[in-house]
Amino acid sequence: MSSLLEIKNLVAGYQTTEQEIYAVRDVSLELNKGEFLGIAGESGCGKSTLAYAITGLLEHPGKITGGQVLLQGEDLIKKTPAELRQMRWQDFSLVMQASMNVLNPVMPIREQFYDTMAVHHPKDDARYFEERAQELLELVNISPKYLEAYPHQLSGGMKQRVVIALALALQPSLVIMDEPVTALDVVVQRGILQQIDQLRQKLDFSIIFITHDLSLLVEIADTIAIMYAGQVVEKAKAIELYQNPFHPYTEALMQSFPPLLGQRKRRHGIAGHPPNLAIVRPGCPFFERCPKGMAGICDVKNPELKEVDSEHYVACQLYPEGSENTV
Amino acid sequence: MLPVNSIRKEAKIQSEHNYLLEIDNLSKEFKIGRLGKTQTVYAVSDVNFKLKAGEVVALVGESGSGKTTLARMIGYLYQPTAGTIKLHNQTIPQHLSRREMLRFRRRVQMIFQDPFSSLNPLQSIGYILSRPLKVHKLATGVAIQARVIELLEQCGLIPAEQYINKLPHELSGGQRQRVVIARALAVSPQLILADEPTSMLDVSIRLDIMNLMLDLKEEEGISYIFITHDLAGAHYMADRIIIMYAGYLVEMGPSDQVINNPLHPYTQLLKEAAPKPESGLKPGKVDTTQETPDLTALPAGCPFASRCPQVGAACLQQLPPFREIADGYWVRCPEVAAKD
Repeated sequence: MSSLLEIKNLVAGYQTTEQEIYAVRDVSLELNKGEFLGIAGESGCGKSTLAYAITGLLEHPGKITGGQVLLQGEDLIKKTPAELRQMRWQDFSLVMQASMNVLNPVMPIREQFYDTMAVHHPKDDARYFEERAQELLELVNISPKYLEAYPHQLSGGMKQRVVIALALALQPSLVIMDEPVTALDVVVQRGILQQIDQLRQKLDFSIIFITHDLSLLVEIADTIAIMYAGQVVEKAKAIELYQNPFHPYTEALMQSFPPLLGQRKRRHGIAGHPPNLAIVRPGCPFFERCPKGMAGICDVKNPELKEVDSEHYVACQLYPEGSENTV
Repeated sequence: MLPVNSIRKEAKIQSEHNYLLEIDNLSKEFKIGRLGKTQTVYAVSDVNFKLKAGEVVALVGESGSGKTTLARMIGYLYQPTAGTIKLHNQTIPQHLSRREMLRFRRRVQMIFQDPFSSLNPLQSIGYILSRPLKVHKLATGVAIQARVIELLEQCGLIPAEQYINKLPHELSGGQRQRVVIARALAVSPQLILADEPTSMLDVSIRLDIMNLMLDLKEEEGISYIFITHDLAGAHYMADRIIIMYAGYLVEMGPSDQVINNPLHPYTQLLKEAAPKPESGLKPGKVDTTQETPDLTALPAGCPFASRCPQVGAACLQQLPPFREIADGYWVRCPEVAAKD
């Protein structure tokens, strides 16, 4: 597998007249061709800002202040808005949170497919568009007769599938999905996740899937990155991360999901609140909430993300580089 | 303060013999459309169940399964089309006078999903929490302030003095939901109807709110009807789980049994679809192609028949009865045999 996307030391945030919010702090991630990368974290950990920063959609007052986003070797940050517009949908696409509201309510589904394709297609080839639109709907298990329909005639799950079909219309190599199934019922949610997985195997694109629901991610992602206060604090293969979480935050996050099966037992959430992103403190951002925090060490130096086990990266002072069994 | 508690203690003693809540044949229809083209939405159909004092029951189902409508009828926000609701063996009449309404609201309170819109943005937390005390004449003068502080502390908003003068927008989602719970708690209710109280909250906060509700159940003996679409949350919170589909109850029983050994095919589908990494990492394929039935044109037979993998000929013709197949365990499916 070769690397498709490389994010290097990305720094992004929001600048208002009163304060600066540091929402993405020095994030480096790599995504291989065909890989499914999940990013999980609480609200306000910077995961959506990261998605917007990657796709060049971060608008004022948001801005990228450093780093590189290399898609097939090309730095997206250096592109002009016009160049980015050309690349969007074609090279990468974005499925947003509550994306059912993305569809134009006064346009039939057919027009929305035509629109997307016409912008990027040199010729206005109506027959090709029609065939492709039908093919795309079938791809996501919706009957082509719904091309006639308006968005309000579709259920929430169907709209979400239409948006996914649109995102795949120009065969991008990367699809970024920001909480694509959060507003849906469990059964519909499972259906869409299965669909995404099938499509990925068939069409061989890569996915960055952003969600707060770690239990869902563990089942579908190849690799998971955990974000906290704008930083990636742990990254590993999904199974490895689930069975053997290193970072105290990852552990706490997993603990806060009651398991479905087994006996009922009291559990405890994570004490305290996520930190204010307008303030940069020395030391680990999780220090105040961390049950294993070491005063004098953790509140002095912010640990870097380092590989402590094969392909298992963690940013925590408890784990010196290369050692496996330290706690 | 004192009289409320003593009333509740009395009620508690009474309810050892009776049920707190009894729902009999409850149905709700909505008329939609206009100009002679009206259609009827059968939102809740023929619901029967009982709730003991101090018990937590979870209502689980997908959107449109009628769980919210059912809770709103119990909370006297909707009038049932048919059927009765009994509280402490007394039928709630169709129309309550203002005094009766106040009495009812002192026993039954509701918590809604969205803590961002269920608090008035212009009112301080102290004012919001003092209102039920004044309306229900539960405290006067300085006692109001003392009770507000007590409520805030009970709901984990500590130091309470800091919160009294704050406005809702100054609080996080989790803190707001705590205020909403404190407001419901102000009248010392016997039953709280909680409609998806955690679904708008962050994962790490959800567990805190569920734990708070469970603590209050233990301290105050409050019963909950906990509405959710999250099976894992229902299992964590509830003593019993009721599964609803297309307005009908389809399965009801003790939480552990419903989750670990679901009998109705719909419950089995829900369980299959729910994330459960603890049972192995790669989930099996779940057939999710079918959508929920149209509530304006329910089929003659079982509403789940069109999606059911075990559907039989009888299922298409006649609505299966909701049967008690073991002590306290009910299923609406003819394919499930009675247990001894």
